Amino acid sequence: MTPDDQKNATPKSFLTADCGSTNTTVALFDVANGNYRLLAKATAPTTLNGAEPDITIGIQQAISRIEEVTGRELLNEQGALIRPSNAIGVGVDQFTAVISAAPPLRTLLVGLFDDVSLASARRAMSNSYVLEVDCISLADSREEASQINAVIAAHPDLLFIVGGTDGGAKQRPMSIIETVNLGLGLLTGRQKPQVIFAGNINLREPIRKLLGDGANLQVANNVRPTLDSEQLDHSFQLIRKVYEEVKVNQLPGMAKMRDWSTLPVTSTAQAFATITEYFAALQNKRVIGIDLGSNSTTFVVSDPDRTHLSIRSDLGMGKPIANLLSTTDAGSIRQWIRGDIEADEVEDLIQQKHLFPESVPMSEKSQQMEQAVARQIVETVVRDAVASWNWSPEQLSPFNLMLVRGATLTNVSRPGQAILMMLEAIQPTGFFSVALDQHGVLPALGALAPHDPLAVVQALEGGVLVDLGWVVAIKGKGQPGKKALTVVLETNKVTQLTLEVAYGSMELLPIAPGQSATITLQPERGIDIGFGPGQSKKVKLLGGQLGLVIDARGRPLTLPQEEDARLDTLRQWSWGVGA
Amino acid sequence: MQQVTRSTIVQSMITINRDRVLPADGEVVARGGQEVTAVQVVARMPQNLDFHILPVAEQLRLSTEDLKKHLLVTEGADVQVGTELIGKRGMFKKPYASPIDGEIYRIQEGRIILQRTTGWLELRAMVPGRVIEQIPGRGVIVQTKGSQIQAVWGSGKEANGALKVAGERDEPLTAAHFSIETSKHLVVAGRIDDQQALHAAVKNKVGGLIVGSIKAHLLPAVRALPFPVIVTAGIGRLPMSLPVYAILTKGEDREAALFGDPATSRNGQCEIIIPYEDGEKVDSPAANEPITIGSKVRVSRAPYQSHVGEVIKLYVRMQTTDLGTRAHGVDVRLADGREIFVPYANLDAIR
Repeated sequence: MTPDDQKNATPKSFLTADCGSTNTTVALFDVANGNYRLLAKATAPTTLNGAEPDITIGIQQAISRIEEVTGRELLNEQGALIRPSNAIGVGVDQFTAVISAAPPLRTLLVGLFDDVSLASARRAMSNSYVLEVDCISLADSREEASQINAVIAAHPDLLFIVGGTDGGAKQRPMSIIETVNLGLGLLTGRQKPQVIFAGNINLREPIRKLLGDGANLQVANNVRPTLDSEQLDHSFQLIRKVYEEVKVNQLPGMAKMRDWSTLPVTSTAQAFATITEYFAALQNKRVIGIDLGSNSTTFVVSDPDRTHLSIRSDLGMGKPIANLLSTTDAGSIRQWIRGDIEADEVEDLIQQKHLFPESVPMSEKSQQMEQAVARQIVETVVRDAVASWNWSPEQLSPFNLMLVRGATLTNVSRPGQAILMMLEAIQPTGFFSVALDQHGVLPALGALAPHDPLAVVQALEGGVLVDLGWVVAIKGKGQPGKKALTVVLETNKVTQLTLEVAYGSMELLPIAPGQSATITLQPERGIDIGFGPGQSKKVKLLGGQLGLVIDARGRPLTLPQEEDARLDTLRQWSWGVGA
Repeated sequence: MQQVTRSTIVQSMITINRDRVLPADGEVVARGGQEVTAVQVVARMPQNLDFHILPVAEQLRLSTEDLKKHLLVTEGADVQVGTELIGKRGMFKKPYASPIDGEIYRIQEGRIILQRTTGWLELRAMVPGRVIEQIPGRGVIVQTKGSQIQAVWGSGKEANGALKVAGERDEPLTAAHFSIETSKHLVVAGRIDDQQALHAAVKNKVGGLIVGSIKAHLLPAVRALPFPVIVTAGIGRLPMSLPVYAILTKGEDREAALFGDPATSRNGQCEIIIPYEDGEKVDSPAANEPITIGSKVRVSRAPYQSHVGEVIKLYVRMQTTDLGTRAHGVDVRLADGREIFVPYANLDAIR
């Protein structure tokens, strides 16, 4: 072994930073007892506002906190990261960052038909932090002057033009693009947006000519080369590139952060998708992930051979929270609250949180409202994503693992609260486990995975996630109160425990973290737990913070109209899982 | 560990640097070093960029080249309703004339693009003082001295007027608070709970409203009012915090400025400024310093929302809150003597 090989073979310590729009979380991983472990993590506010905005200040604050907790020196006197580490454990070998702190890419979408090229374009846009600010299409009934004024008013960072199948008609798309170009011509120099054209291949040259040499035009493969086919990868890449150039690289302090980084800086959502893919490959089954952030919400579905990603920059628990009220009334959110709370209080909370996006609940009432809002956002994001992928809601299940991120979902008083929010928002069925990214490190591990997979595997095995346990959620119709499912639990502590679960109820069988158990699930006729109606299943599993949650409420979930009955039902469900 | 949190300026006598910026590029008319009055215009821009498109070539069945031959106007020309745009009378059935008053902004691809004459958006200084910096194309920074209260929300307008304290800091505003004495004044009250209070304010022709809080459902209605509304504490039924109420009470009957439009400041700050030309000068508040023991703070979430207190203990490690969640934070002694743990995320440092 050469000295270089020896150096490369030496386990490296690493710091990861997850820079969100509100908070920055830094985690220190190093080898302990022969394996990588999470040694410490700390969170500080992201420092992109105020008189001297600089994203590295928040990172430094979080690193300082890690220094205080671990006694390990990581920053020098000038505040720069000490890299690599030395023999006495000062500094760190690698630094990597994921980022979702940049504002979304304001995108004006131009195309022909809502259910053809525009649908494909929106799927491409949903892979990045993009905000659709307007859409000009054949369905747009505004007069040309209004459309031109709309281009000016939209202040777009990106003009994403699609439309037409390859070799198809040119006239209609060109007519729309001419109108948009008139609007572009009225924008002043510094307002000039980037342009991506991903439509009919035969329009590329006419569009190049029309927009002129001064346009920031990039051409991608047609998102809809034929009516029956779709190709989005090229558009994904170009949109991400524009986002990075126009938004991420403009963040104050980015140059310094890149200097510290030994690996490329990645978008948080992309890195989260990578780690979800990793789990799907490992388990050879579908894995879903939800990240409820402050400025955006990300939903990922990874199968062993394909990943679907949906990023919503218009919905999150921070400033965009107020957008929820444009699609959902406060009364609908309130109906999932287990306390005596009025709709106007929910509306007040939403607007207050819009003004103070970093704030966290300090009372049970406030927490109940915030969790109900979180449930509604997750429901909206998942429902819209599934529809955009042309799936029925049932097609989301079955899956093997649910990964959950975001402070509102993971920093809860009792783990049952997290599971209830997710079950009531997504309403999945089947048999699956649930893990919380309570330390906020999953995307950073996703960014690291392609470069140091062993470190990631060991960190995950070392318990970086909080395993809540397993869920069995039934589908099929039953009689409320009548037996829907029989569960037999066998552990080395309990010889055998049999539980009959009534239709409409929630139950919990505690199985401690790390404890192995054998579970036999026997559904009644017509009830399906993911293996076919009435089909039973015997599985060996390891417990978690909750154990086994049995959701026998059926789908879709319905709540009684009458107020007392609604509260009783919600409280019963809540008590059932110790929430 | 040093922790910087959100901060708010609530000061009774300081030097104030107020941004006065246009929402888009325009013309800056005040010079650096110039003394300005509150009503003086410092920058201006066309009120809106409303374009009118005439698809002339298509309507007259002319090629782009032919159109050029028949044009009677050039880019930049002022036109009125009826101004003939295309020449060669007799060639067409009737003269092709401008349908609006405006300017020929561009002639492109067979279309004439007219920009409607809309008047000017004039940005006034709003406070008397001195221009200490020009922001090219956008506006100026005016320096003055007096009381400054940064707000959490503004309805989108600005106003000058004399302050009138109409209610207690925890009192909901009602029609009974309005009289001849409040008309045209900037009216101070605890909170706005209902629409009737807004109707009464409109009827009374107030110059503006300053409240501690407002119910969320009223926000759209408030945005449509003809005067600005400034909220200092938050959304819901919250009292105005004591330091804010004290400054406003002290300033009663003085001329003040309400900055309720976040678009007129580079950092989107809504605030109240009460200029004191006769007061002693105090330096600007320190930059947002880390929280230390003794820091004066305001709490942003229920059940202590808008309570003011003093930091009495810092923690290095995360603490378990009363709810059972985990958070970095500090112990705060509230004005009523209660001592509570507050996550940094819910702290607003008062500067």
